[in-house]
Amino acid sequence: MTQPVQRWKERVAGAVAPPPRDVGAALEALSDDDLLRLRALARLRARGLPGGVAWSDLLHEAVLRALEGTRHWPPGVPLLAFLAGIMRSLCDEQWRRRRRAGALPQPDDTTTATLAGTGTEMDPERVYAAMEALAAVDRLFVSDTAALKVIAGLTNGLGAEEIQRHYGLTAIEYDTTRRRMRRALLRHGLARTWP
Amino acid sequence: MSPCWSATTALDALLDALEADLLGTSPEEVQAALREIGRARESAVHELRSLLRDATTQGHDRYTPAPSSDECDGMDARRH
Repeated sequence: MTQPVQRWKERVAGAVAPPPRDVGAALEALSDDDLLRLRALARLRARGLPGGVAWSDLLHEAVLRALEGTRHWPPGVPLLAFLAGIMRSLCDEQWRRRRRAGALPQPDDTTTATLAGTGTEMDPERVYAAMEALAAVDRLFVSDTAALKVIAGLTNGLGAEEIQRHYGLTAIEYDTTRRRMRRALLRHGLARTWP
Repeated sequence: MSPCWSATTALDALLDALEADLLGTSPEEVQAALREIGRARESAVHELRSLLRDATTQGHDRYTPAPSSDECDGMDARRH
């Protein structure tokens, strides 16, 4: 066999190598509970995306990427966690693509010097989307004062004990609040629209 | 820290925390949420299964298996 043919075979085999774990079979095996969770995860993550990108598009693309096998599905990681990670990456990718496409105004030199870092802070549209998303989450829990305290703590990157200490919540109050929040997110994962 | 910077970072922190929460939700809590939504559950599950089926079909179309080495050589394995 000639070398070019051998190289072609290696390229083809590498390009279409099946993923190490059968994503398709795992998707088929998802329970209704898992589907509810997956939908809530997609809706949650899509909150930070630019307008016009639906949670279903995000999830659809994540499934395609998982099937493609370009992202390694580590052993021991549940499928939902794997897909959640892909959706998170897709959101970042979406914003990067918009920036490259010139859809977003470029920061001036002063801004760049001041805010050098992740780059996300320099996108006015992304900042606006973030503020909208934060407001939507607040609206979801508007009648739950304890939940709003927990959200304020989480947005500041605080851990459980710090939130309890800072906002005067007992461990039991904190735990029951987080439980209410989980259930609300699951319920609203099924709703047509968020508040 | 500018207000702009904190909005995106705050959202990232919040989404990561809520995502971890959803991933760690116990089956009992999921069941409780399902009971609360009643009949909306069936249509939501159906919608999601359709979405996953469509994506899987599209994925299979896009990433068809590699031909066998015999096929790569232009040889049909059935002739053997």
